Amino acid sequence: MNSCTVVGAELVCAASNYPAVPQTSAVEVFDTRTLKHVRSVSLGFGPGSLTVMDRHDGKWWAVFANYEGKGGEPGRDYRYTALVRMDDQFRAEASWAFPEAVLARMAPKSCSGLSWGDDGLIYATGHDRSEVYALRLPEANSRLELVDTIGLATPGQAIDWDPKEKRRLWTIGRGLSEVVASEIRTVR
Amino acid sequence: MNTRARYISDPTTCAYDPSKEKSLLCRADGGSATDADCITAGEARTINAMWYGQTADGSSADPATLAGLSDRLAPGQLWFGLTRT
Repeated sequence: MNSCTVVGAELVCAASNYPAVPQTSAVEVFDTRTLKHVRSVSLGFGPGSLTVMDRHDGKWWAVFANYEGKGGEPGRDYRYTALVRMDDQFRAEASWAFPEAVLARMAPKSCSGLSWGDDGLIYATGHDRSEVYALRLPEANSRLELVDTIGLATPGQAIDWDPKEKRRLWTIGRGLSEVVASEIRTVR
Repeated sequence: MNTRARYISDPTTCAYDPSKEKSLLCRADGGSATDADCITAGEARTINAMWYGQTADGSSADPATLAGLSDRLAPGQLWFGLTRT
């Protein structure tokens, strides 16, 4: 299990077989009240390892991570990490690559967390660095644009914005097995 | 730093420099630490180098410049260093 977000009364999680290859992915859904598993949507083989499934503007937004070395498939390193917009049936509609400057900070790992902000920007984390990258969809071409890099208290991976408290971001602290709430400054 | 939670709230603004931390440096290197866990000046430079990242000549910038946290490599820098956490 890589990361989750709450959609309605359900906890929607991105799961993959990382670090096994070939990469396979699935969406696992849980009831937020009982935390019982409700259903699974198998995505099978895809353009990477599913690390994020977010909901925004009536669409699903998935991150398919790719890695250099452990968990990576031959001929497809971290540069092939993609943000994919999907319809309600999890069918891909559009896809974007990540900014090269962000990929360099994530290398040799990949994007491990992402959540749409209420400011219309996409916030993404890598696998290890204590940073969150504010990104936006490009007006043209297929690479996301880096708007700002913001320091984070915890070293990357799963994130999600608080649905009620503005600029409160929930992250995980792996070293202490904690969930951490941080107040994130606005983008410059 | 949030000392209670042991997290650095914003590592991009952290310019901590162990080579200037007298309480950690061994007495032989100008510090005040007397126990076996004291760090030498060379070890402090190595820690700073890890945070700054690899360079062609092994040098690293003063932590006060925060050059290791840029999303662009500085002149002579081969790759990004570790984030201070």
